[in-house]
Amino acid sequence: MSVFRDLVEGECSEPNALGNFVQHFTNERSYHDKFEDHGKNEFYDSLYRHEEEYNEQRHLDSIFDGEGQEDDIHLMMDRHLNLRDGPREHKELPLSNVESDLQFLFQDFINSTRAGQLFHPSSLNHLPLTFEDKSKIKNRSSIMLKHFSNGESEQFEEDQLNRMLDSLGIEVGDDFDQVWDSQPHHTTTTTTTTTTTTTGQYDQYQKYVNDLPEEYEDYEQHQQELFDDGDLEDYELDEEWDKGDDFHPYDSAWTESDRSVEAAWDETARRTISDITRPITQINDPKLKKSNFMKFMNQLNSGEASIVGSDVVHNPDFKRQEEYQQQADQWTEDYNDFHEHIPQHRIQEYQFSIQEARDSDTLERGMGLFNEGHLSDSIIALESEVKRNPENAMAWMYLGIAHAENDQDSQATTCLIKSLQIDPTNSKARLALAVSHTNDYQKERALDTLEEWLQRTPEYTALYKQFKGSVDPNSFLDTWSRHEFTTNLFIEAARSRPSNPDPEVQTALGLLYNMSYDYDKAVDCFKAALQNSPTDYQLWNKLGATLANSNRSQEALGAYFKALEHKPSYVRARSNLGISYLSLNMFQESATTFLGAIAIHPAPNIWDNLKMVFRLMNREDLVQKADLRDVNAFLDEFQFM
Amino acid sequence: MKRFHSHFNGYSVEFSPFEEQRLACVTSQHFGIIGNGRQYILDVLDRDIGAFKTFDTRDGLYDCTWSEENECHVASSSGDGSIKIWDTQAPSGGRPIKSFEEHTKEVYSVDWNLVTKDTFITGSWDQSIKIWNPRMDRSLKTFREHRYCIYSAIWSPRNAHLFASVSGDRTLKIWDSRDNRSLNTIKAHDHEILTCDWNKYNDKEVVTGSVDKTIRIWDIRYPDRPTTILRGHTYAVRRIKCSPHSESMLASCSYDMSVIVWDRAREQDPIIARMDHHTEFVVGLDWNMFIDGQMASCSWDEQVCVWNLGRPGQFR
Repeated sequence: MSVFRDLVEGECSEPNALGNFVQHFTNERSYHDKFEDHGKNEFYDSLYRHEEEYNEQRHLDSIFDGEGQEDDIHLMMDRHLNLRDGPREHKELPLSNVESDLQFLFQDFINSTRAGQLFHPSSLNHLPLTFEDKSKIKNRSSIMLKHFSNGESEQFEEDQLNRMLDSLGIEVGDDFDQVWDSQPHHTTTTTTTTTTTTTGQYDQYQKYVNDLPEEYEDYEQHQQELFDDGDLEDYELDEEWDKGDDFHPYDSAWTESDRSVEAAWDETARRTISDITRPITQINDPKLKKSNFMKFMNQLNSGEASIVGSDVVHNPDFKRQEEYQQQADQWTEDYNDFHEHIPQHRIQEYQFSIQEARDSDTLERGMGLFNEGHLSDSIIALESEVKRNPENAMAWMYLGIAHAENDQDSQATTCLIKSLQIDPTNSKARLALAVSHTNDYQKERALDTLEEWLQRTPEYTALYKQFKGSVDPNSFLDTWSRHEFTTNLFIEAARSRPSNPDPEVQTALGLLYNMSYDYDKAVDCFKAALQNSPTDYQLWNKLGATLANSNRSQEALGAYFKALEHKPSYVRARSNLGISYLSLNMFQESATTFLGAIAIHPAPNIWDNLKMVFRLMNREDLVQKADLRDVNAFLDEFQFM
Repeated sequence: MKRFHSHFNGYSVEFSPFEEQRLACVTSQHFGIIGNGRQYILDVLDRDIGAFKTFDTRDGLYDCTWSEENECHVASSSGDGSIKIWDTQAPSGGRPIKSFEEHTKEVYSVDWNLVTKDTFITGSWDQSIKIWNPRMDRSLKTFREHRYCIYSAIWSPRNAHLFASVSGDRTLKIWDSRDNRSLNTIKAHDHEILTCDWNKYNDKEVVTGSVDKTIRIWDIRYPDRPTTILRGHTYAVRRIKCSPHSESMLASCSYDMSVIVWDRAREQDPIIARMDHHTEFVVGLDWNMFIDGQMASCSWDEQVCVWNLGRPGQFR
């Protein structure tokens, strides 16, 4: 019988188990005494004066809808008002060191398992765990371990589990099943196969097949109790199928665990120190390195926590420090790699929609069309311009912005990068690039772009260098903390101009807060940015979109109106306005707005939105009409021109 | 992003089907390995998240579900094999109004029937699935076919009798609650399957997530192969929730500490957001039915997070 099999077959324990567990944590007196003294008065008072009345009259009535089951209710109440079953003990517990020791042990167990790293727990043998506690720890940790280990060998998992159990003084060979089976269960329908641990080799699969009849007997009994036997024939067929070669329910989980507990332990004990202390430097998950596992290691290092184990397999402390230093070095290296591996910008070739540049299409014409909202025509005109003058940074930038307004963020990104390659000082293009990355959910690149913007803006270069230099690069290994860093950078930049907000810095901050879903803060930033550029229609649209994302659609309407006041042909704001009307269930207004947007720029996604509105209006006729994609067909019913 | 610090390690979070700002969250001490459990009833406020009620249990709580027929009731499943029904109108620290004790091992999954609204289903490590009516003292029916721990059993959102279950035995089973045997057994993954959910817009489609790090989408009429495999997580996929607002969108959370929002309509690049706002395993996840794009997650880092995803591309 293997260790793991044994663990899994264990029983879950009685509902009162934790009471016993808790009892040991409160040293002075037993849990029940404590409950009597401390909890009883409070409990009786609150329960019998308020809760009983409340329970019986109010919510029990409501759950049972007065269906005449009052007898059952009283039985049930009796059962649940049993003081010994009280679920209140936790509140009365001071947070003891014992609890946090246990938390640390499990944290270490979890994180090292996840990293594929054998751990070295300090001994918590002094914890007086009951059999039930031990069984839970054994069962649950053995099952959960398989969920978060990253494809490690069964041998590793077994070793790892044994280390954890050993540190808690749980004998791996303890035959919990026998103990529990002698105790009353809360039901009598237990079907668990109980097997004792023995020495020798087991064929796990054979064992499994041998176990089947017991399960099936139970199953059949169950079937007969409740239902007729009609299905049994099928069921036997199924059994045959299950026995087939292709059914190996546990093979990855259990195949290597077919050894006796004793043999497994002997082997563990025989291992050399170097085997067991597999270099922790193999961890290469940057996020894990700053998780609690790392904190735990730090505590070990500083002496805040210590290793008390007498086991020879434990490393002496000085060795541990060396190891730690190695980790630190390795992590710094990894960090550097980590950053180098982020491609600065994946530069794609721009996909032209035209073959040849047309002479009539100039930058001026492209800009004119763009300002009128005719995005497709404007894109064609600007393409002609960049075909003729591939070094025209301005044309590339407007081409990018036109693509962005037309929901083509990857094209937009390509154009904006081209523009910045020609003219790296164009801050407007860089900010637009950050927006496109944000829209495209390219958070890392958006953060890179924003930082570069700050670095390249003369006013903030010094601030950037000072800030960047003062920060431990290890502190932002994941996107989330990287984001926090960049946000702080821009907050610092904003603080340098308290009375006269820089619209671009505020816009960047607004973007950053959008990325972290802090919409209320983002709203404040865009409002601040608008103080100094009140006619920036894109800013008004950003404010509107942020308000809408924050479920403030009513307020968003106002912002979109402002955007359209400054640029009536702004399709993006019209389309967003339609979406906000839709969230407010103003279908007529929503449809009219979408049609107005389509009249300027017939984008497929706006047609889709329009059809959705028609469906919500229960106007199947209009849905079908929309499939024709002729905006003029709606002129008779909607005044959108 | 709004955050709430829970006293224990998070296990599951679910938005109320009646009140748009309310959510239930269950947590367990010591990562659910041993210790108490706590049921939170939380309210999403203007600037943060507040605890409306808390209820304590002796053993850890692994999953919770709101009643579909009574807005005040929440069911949560416990490590001791019991299922507790809580009344959110009762004072904090109160007792469950009902506790069902039939499962003989940890109950890892509980889910309320969205169609009939008067039953819920539980899946347990004792390898059985049980259907319950909160008015009855005993389970209505027990299903035993899986050969290892059951990690998730979920009702179909459309069909009153259909449900799906997944297990460490690597199978996905589809059941009709009127039959005693499963309708279909799909060998869905080569490793343990930890989670499943139904597409809310297509009642033939079930999504599974496994220790093998993949998410697989199944047309239950064609069990021999998944229609889609989504790759992106770097550790086991712990929970999947299909969007209540979009046929093609779903969200998943993982032991890789991230939440990923997928849009299958984007064939080249289905990941529309990868969120790393948690610092430990992310185990609980839900979509708000009332607010398009609002999501909640909870993690072993003791944080419950609520955020609005926003509409892709709206922001120009």
